[in-house]
Amino acid sequence: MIGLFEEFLSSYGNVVDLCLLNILLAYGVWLALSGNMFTLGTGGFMALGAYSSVFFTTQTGMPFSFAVLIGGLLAGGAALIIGLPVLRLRGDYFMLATFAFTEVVRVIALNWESVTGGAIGIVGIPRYTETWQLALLAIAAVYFAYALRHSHFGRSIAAIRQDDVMSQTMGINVLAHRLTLFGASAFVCGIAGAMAAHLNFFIGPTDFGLLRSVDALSYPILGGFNALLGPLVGAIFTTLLPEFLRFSNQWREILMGLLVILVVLYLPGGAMSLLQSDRLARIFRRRLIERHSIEQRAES
Amino acid sequence: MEVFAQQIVNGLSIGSIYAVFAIGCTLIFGVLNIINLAQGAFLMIGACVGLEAARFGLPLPVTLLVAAFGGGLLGVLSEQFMFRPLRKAGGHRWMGLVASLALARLLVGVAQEIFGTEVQAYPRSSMSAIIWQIGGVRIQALQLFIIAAAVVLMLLFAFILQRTSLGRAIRTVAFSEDVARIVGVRVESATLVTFFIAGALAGAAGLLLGVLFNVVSPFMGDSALVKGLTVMILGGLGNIPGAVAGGFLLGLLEVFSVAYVSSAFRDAIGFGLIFLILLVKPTGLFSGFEERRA
Amino acid sequence: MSGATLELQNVAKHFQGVIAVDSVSLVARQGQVTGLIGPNGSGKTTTMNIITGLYPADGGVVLLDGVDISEIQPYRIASLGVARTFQNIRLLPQGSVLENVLLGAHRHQNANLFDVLLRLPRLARSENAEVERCEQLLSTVGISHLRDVAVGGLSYGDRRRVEIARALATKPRLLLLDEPAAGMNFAERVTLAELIADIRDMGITVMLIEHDIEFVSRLADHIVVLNFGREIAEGTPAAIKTMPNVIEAYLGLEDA
Repeated sequence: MIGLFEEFLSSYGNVVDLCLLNILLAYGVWLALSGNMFTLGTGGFMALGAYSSVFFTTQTGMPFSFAVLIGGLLAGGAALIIGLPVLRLRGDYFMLATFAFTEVVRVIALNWESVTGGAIGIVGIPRYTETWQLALLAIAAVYFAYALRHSHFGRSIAAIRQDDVMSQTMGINVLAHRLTLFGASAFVCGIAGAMAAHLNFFIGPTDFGLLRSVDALSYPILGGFNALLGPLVGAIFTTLLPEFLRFSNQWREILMGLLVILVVLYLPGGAMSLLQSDRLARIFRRRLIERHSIEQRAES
Repeated sequence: MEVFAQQIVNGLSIGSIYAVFAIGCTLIFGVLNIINLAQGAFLMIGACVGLEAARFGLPLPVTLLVAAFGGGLLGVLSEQFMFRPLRKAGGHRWMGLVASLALARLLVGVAQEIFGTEVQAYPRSSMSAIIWQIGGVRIQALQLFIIAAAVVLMLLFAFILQRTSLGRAIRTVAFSEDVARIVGVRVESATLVTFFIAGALAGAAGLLLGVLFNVVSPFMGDSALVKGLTVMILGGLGNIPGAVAGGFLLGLLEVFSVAYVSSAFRDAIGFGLIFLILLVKPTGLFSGFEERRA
Repeated sequence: MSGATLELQNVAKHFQGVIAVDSVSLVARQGQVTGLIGPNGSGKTTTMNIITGLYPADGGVVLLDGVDISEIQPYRIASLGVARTFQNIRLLPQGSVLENVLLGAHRHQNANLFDVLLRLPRLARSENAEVERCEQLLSTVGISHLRDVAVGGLSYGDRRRVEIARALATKPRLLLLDEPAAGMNFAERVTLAELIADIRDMGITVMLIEHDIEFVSRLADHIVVLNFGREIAEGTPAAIKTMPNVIEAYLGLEDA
């Protein structure tokens, strides 16, 4: 049995690692989305975590775990600095600012050659990341998401997402909540970046561009943003699909684009909304409400 | 002084392209209050289609029309089959952003499949060979063509928006969709035209960009989108005169930063500006021109 | 719980040149029901938005027990004990009645983020205490039986009650009700009036914005009449009804 498992890992280990990493990212993005923040900063935060952790492990000999933590903290800190002014503005400005941030990081990575290796990137990064570490982080992410959702903080966050004006009048500090969520989101993405850097032997500026941010956004949205396991399902599905269907890169892009459009159009609750048993109940309830209001109208 | 004048010419030619592109981005925002992140891909497709037309032997002004039409067609299709159903479904604001990003991704894939993944060059145009020396300043006929084409496009756009019934319809929808319906504007066709114009401007900008740098690639849309969004923020979201001014400003700033600071800073300048403006004056540098939509 | 006294001094607000509130001064005394009435567009809701901090005032001061709150963030004003309901009911339609009411209890939860993420015992204790308190509030407003029903499916009157329960869950000293009787039938109005009287008897200061002068007259100790963004009259309900300028500005319009 164990032998079989090892055999599985040796042949599909890369895919498993990738899935776990993307699950981590998916929950990182989910944190921001849950506070109504459409973030395109994921790529930038990953890059911060990746480059800084590689710098610390290879240049200063810092232990891997510390380097990863620092990578996460740096990303989180950057998020607080961007978030504080921008979160006061409308949502579109937030999106644009995070987009600009990812590009700034990419430009810096391209030009700060002494640390980032410029366009060539950094080659020969020691492979410290182990599958069990990624699994642990992914499990922790799901658990924390669960804990958050089932608490008064989860309720407040849901309220902020739906009606931030009303939330304020309930005594909820909307800005502080959103800033915390954004910082936490960046922290998780930074850690994912650091883990990714020590998994792949190589990092370069193109690894963490806009496309990375878009990919990461598509995980929770494809899987179902409102379900606890939605981001997980989305991440696994998105990672595995191209592995099973051995398309060319171009066809992968075309199909992924098409898939996301179709899901957004026809299944806005994501894949998880298919599984939820109360979907039917909700439709039924809506019928009841309709009938109820018709009766009311008839009465009046 | 000569370097300075030279940079002005270079900056105006690139800035005019940014302005044309950004007008389209900001128009969609102004009318429908959404940001179309696929505009960069429309630009790229415009450049690719224009390149094919040029290889076919069509003269430059005609390829410009072909590119504009290609971009416009994409705009119409995206509105008809994606943005409008999304608005009807009344989903979350994100969904439009996600869908437009996915559309961009799809189009990049399609472009790679059809036009190949390599960077391609335009067939040598007679215009790039004509160079005037005025004082110490080198002016390519091509640069003049680009600036002239951009200005004509902008004037045409201004004419349509300000002087035609179509433009009035679009402006009414921008003011309020409900009001537009009440006064009998056909909102559906007005939004389709809006998307056509925005797409056409993107497609035309793509061709001009490809001709100016003599480079066309399926990946040119991303960096163009960044420029477009930067200009949008510079001018204020939905502010059309602001987009024009912002486009020229960004073009000049970039060119000057390359000439006097370092080429590495060219891209950083734009993003630095975004942050600065978001901090200091989020309604844009030129928000005096036009009341922004609430 | 003891009520707070609210005082507005020359409060003004305009939107891009349009004057919404010109200059309003009024006092809502501790433990009383103060009615704020006036025709549509007279600045009632704008005044309430200024009090709760949603709009910064362009002039004047808002005093809560003598403390100036006009420059304070809305969430801080709420934590000082100011709660409100909205004219266009603002609830989370997918959430249950209890979940919606619990939102008001947010700032009384003892468990911090650390307790939440590690699911320490304090989380359960805090949650249970607040659930119990909110259940009592549900029975106060008379909707205990709807505890687990999604708010989106409730009748208009019941949704109003959920909103009032949610406001009470913040443990307010001042409760602002924005047209709570709008769209209610006669029976619903009677029970609502009883509920507001009960809330006043708890010691909470109530400010009642209404269009309907009859409804307010039955409840209010004191009425302030607004027109064109200014207070044009104030006094007891009986006195108000006889004032000629009120009849002209307000009642006259009703009859026309």
